[in-house]
Amino acid sequence: MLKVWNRYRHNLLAVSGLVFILLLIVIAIFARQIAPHNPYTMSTAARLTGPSSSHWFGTDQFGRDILSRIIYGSRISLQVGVIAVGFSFIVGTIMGIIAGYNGGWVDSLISRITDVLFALPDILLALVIMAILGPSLNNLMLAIGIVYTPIFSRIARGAVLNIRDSLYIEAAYSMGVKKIKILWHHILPNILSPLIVQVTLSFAFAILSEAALSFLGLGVSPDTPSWGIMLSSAKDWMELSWWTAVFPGIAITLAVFSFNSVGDGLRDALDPRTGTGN
Amino acid sequence: MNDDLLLDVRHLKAYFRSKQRTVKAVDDLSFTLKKGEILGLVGESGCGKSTTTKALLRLIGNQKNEYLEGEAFFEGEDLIKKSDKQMQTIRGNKIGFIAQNPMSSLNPVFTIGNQIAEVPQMHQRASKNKAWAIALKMLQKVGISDHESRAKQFSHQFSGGMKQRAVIAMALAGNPSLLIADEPTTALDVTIQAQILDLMVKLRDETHAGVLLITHDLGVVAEVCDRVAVMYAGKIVEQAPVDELFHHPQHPYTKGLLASVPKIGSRKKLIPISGHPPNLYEMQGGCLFQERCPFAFDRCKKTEPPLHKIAEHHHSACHLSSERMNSF
Amino acid sequence: MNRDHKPFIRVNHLKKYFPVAKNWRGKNSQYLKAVDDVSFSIDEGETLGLVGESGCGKSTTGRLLLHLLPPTSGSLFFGGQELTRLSKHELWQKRREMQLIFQDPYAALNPRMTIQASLHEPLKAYGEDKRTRDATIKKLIDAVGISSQYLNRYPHEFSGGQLQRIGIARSLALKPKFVVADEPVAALDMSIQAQILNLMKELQQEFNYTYLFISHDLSVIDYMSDRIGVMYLGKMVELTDRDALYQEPLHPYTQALLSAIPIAEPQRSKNKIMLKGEIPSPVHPPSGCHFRTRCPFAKAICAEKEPEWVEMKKGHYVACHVVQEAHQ
Repeated sequence: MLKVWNRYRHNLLAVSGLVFILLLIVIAIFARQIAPHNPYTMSTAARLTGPSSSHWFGTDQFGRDILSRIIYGSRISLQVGVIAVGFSFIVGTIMGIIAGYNGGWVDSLISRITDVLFALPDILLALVIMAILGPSLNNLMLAIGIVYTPIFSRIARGAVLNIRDSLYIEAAYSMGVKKIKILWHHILPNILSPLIVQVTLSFAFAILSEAALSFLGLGVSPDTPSWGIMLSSAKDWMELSWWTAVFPGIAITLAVFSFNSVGDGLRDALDPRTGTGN
Repeated sequence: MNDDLLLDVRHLKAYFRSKQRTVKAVDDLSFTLKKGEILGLVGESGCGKSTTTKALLRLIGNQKNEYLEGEAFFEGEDLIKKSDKQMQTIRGNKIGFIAQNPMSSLNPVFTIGNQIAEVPQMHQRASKNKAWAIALKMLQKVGISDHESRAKQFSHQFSGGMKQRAVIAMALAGNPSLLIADEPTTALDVTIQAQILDLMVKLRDETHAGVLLITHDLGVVAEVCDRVAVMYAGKIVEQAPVDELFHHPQHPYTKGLLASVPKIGSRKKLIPISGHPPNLYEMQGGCLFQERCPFAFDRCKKTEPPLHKIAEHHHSACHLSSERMNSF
Repeated sequence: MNRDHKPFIRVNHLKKYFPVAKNWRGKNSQYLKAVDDVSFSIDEGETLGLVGESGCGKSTTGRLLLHLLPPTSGSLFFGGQELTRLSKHELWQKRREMQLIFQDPYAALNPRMTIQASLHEPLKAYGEDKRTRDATIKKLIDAVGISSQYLNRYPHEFSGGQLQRIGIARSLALKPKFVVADEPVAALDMSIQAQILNLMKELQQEFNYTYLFISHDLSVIDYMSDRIGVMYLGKMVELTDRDALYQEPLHPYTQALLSAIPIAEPQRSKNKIMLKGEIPSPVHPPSGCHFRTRCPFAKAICAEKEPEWVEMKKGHYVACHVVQEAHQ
């Protein structure tokens, strides 16, 4: 573990990404204390005012403080991103490993299921799932999680197929190492790289999907502060008041970028062959 | 200089530089090759034998981090001073190249015949028909039976030995005076290796081309080479005619190699060379072999032994052999 | 050598067919007969060498003996027990006693695990406690000549020779009785090969291992083995003591193989038996005797009937019509 951290800390970008994510988590936890205004309080007098000393990031079409809404919005965005992607990462990877390692009819079954899920457009699939489950934040996360599961499953399966016949797998087996240990010690660490990259990519998509589904009325209620909702509702006012779109946009971009750099840094740090090992 | 001299390499250096270190892959290499002679360049992985061929073909030295120095006179002209364009007319034409892995030399989407015909088309501006005729002749020459229909096939329809024959045919198509073969039989089975080695010797007799044979296999050297240069850590440590080298090896590394290779029918216990080859970037002064040498003494740590003439045509880079000479 | 020993390993009519094509109903219609009816035995503490060219089935035979691949048919006795009849758990328990040494030690080690973790792994799998594991590993790495200060390093930080030492230590960690070595020195440099070969011999003397030594290199096989089996296209064609094999090889393929091997001895007579053609595909082997397409002595009967596996002299088995006829 220490070695991984030693390799990680030499990567400036990855460390800054990690710092930003930690900061984001702190902001999300202490939103009430940090936010200068109540994110729900509307004010007809202060509609669409630009950045000023009282409203640093300006106000939206209902006169709500955008900075406060971004601060509160970090809660939902982080939650959706982490939980939905975490779900698809864990479920997808397990499915992919089982399919790739066992082969045979298990593989065929899992591969057909992922193929079907792949064939449907993401949003449509999420819509169908949401329609069945009913609108709520939990169901939204579950729906997004299901939508992104097949891609993890497919990546994991491909990676497993790649290394399943490796000599070190055969070596471990020939030395009496049990199947479950082989999966855990040999296969999982060696397929992690492409999966981690996918996690960081999916995180961005998850935040945007939440926005889209919420926009269609299937996610959280439209007055709840979430980066996705803020960005999508800003599109009607953008020409008049750029700040309604720019600040939530920057928030999403920074979060996504941080997760990407953390992912890249993690991928390199987990591989003993890279970096400062010697 | 005599007229027989085909290749005269003097003080060839090829270094690879990175931020942290310089790898001296080939360091101050000098050797000659006569017409119709097969010179074996033997050594273990990382000794610089392949880099030497790449340097001669000028496949390195064009990148920023690659450094090439020295002279390599081929038919009187220095290859190292040639421009890229001039080299293109020499490579594959006057100098034929046979790589270890025939797969990497053959393009899977063209027929074997077309690939061979390309050589005379490019270098001799031969017409399509004439080039095809040359290709057929070459395939026949390297012993591919049914060559007319074989020429129309693709590389995946050829077996390993046939592919290597095709690569040799391609190397011969330019009617080269120098053939460079980099481990030409290492990827092949023993019975096929015997065929290919036999073919190479036959072709040498026919065309009188000089052959630079790179190999790690002392057996191959003993079977086909006229002269041998043993390389270690980027340098030639011993050079001699083949019989002389095998029967009177002078350098401790050559002796070590000969003692560590099992021979059929001999029940002698193998005596390995201790340790392992040095990193080419962590070299201290003195003789490069000293750490593994059973005879190393003070001087070996301080000064590097030059390649010393110890008999007619026999050179060795060892303080011990030069000392023995001086004591006479 | 004492022939009165009870054989420790015994295989009868061992076959392994791999399906390579399916017909339109999804049934396997074509097979690669990797190992086709092979029978032999190995005494305790003995080294049996298996030699042959690519596609001869020697590696598959090794894996069948360890039951890493289930045989298509045939029986396989290990110390008196029939392996194919054992339950999964019993087989797992037996696995301790039989181990494999790999050709490519780098590929056989998980690149993301330290050497330490890799060495502990097999012992952990069989539930050894930390103290016993540490003690066993300390002893082993001393025996193979690796310093314990390197244990926390990763595979890519070692040279090939060091890695093979580590690989051998790992294979021997479970104190096996039977060890299959699959081309253990083919990926190593010449000067390192002898180190590993001698190490394997020393360890055998100390711990009385029974070895199956697989190699394409007849000189290496000759150095290591008490008896040698020669394989060609899934069949064993000759099996005998190493001296007998070298002094009076009976099968034409063995003779050709012996003569094809380049010997590091330039003045040896060069009367080679040059085999015609190439090794046929094991998916479509020739009818009758598989070697007949390349055999200089092939007769009509060789195409019609597979030669039987006959003991021509005590302990000297051959499968060849020509040899058998000559002896009648």
